[in-house]
Amino acid sequence: MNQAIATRGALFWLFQRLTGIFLAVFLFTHVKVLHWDFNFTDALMAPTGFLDFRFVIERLQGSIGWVTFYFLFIVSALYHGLNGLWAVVLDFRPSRAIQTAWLAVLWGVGVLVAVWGFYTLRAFYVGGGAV
Amino acid sequence: MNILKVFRGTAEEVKLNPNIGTFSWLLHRITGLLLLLYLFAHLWVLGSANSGAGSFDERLRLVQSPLFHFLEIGLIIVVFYHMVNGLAITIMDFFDLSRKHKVLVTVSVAIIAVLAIVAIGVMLPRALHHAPGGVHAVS
Repeated sequence: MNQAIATRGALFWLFQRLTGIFLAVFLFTHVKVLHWDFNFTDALMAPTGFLDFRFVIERLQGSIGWVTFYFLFIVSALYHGLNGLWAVVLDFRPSRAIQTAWLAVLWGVGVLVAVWGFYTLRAFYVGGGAV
Repeated sequence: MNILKVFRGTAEEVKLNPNIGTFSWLLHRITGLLLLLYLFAHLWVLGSANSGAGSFDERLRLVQSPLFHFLEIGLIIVVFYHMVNGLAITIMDFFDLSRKHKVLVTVSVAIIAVLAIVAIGVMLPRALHHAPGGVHAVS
C-alpha cells in the first residue's frame, strides 16, 4: 500500500475514535439540556405540553457558545456517520472507480448537511435574539 | 458490487465466524446505519426552524405523539448499544486488548442490558401517559 494512503487511513481511524468519544459527551449534554429537563422536570415544561421553539431558544439563550457546541456536534456526527458508511462499503471491496464516486457522494452529502445544520442553528440564534 | 452480493457476503461472514465478536460487529454496523438515518431525520425536523417558529412547532408536534415516544425507547437502546460497544472497540484499540475482545464484548452486552432496562423503566411510563391532555397538559 502507498504510504500516503496508509497514513490517511490511520488518521481516519483515529478521528473515528475521537469523534466517537466526543459524540458520547455531546449527546449526554444535548439530551440533558433539551430533552431530559423538559420531560422530567415539571418546572420547565412548556405551557402547551409540547417541546417548542420558545423552549429551545430559552434554553440556548442566544448564546454563541451553544451555536458552536451544536455545530461541532453536527460536524462530528456527520464525520462519524459518513466515515462509518465509507468503511461499510469498503468492506465489500468495490472497484477504484466506485470508491472515488462513493467518496464524492459522501463528501457532498456531508458538506450540504453541515451547511443546512449551520443555517438551522442560525435560525435559533436569530430567533433567540428576537425574544 | 451489487446489493445481493453485499447481503450474501455479510451472511457468509456470520456463517464462517458465528461467535460473539461477529454478532457485535454486525450489530454495530446495523445500529450505526440506523443512527445515521436518524441523524438525517432529526436534522430535517429541526430544519423547519428555517421557515419560522410556527413551522418548527408544527413539525415538532408530529414527532411528539405516543407512537414516537415508544420509538424513542428503541432509539435510546440503539444509541446505548452503539455507544458502549464503540467505547469497547476504542478501549480495545488504544490499550492493545484485542486478545480479550470476547471479555470486553460480554461486559459491554451486560452494561447495555442494564442501561436498556433502566431506559425502559424511565421512558415507558412517560410514553404511555404522554398524549395531548395527558400528564403534560396544564390544568
